[in-house]
Amino acid sequence: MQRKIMKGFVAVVLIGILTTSCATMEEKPKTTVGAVGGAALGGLIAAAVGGNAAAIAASAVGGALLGGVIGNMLDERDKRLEAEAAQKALETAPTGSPVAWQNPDSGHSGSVTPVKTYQTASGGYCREYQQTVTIDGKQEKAHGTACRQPDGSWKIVK
Amino acid sequence: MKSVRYGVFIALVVVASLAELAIAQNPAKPDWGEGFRTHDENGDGKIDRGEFQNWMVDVFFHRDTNHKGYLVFADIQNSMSLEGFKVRDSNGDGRLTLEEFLNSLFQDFEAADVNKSGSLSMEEIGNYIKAARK
Repeated sequence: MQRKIMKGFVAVVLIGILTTSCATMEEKPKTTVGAVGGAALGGLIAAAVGGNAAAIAASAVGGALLGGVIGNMLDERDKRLEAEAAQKALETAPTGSPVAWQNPDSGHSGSVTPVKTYQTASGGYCREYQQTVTIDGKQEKAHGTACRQPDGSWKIVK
Repeated sequence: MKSVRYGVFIALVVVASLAELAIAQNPAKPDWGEGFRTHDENGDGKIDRGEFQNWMVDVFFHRDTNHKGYLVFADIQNSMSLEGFKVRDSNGDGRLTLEEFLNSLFQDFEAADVNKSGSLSMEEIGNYIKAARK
């Protein structure tokens, strides 16, 4: 008797599970077929904030980010700090999130902010960035594009 | 002996149901509002197709561990089922290209754009995500 009741209960649970699954499938509008779905979209865009950090390559950004008079006013440590900030920003920072650097010895500071990401035909990544450098209280801004190299470094292309 | 097996099965079903209930009651709070604001380039409070594409390329880039140029299932397994991944991996090579990724997401864009304005408000995205979790 107990066995029969148990079997009946299992059958009811299974039917319940199957019915729920079928209902869920049918309720989904046809327009979402092929879409990642709302839950997946939510997960994907939430993860974009903060990013899925890849390992930061030891090599720094190739080429000085800021040329001209301002570029010449940066000392070696400024340039190293700037290059490290740029590498970090380009490799891991979400679009719109600045990575700042500061050299207490020279008093110079700055930031690098990725503003747009795109992929080249060969599958490589490029990112446009905005850069600020503050020297003696005066801030200079620059805009450029860097592309990721196979070794993980970023090379300025524009 | 049989009743023991049924008992174990029922216990598993109950545990699974409770776990599902707990997840449903405590969904992770996605902080995508910041991403929305960042990618609303013209600041009109809506994400048009161009802005959406830029946003999703950014998502793809950050999900692509080690920046290989494509996604494997491990890169997005916390947002997509394996079945879902395979459906989108049209040539079955285990890699999701940016084009395949964007094709899928633009179907979400169309589905979320309930008033067919060609752009998404924060409310439309929120409702679309919320509806999928019900």
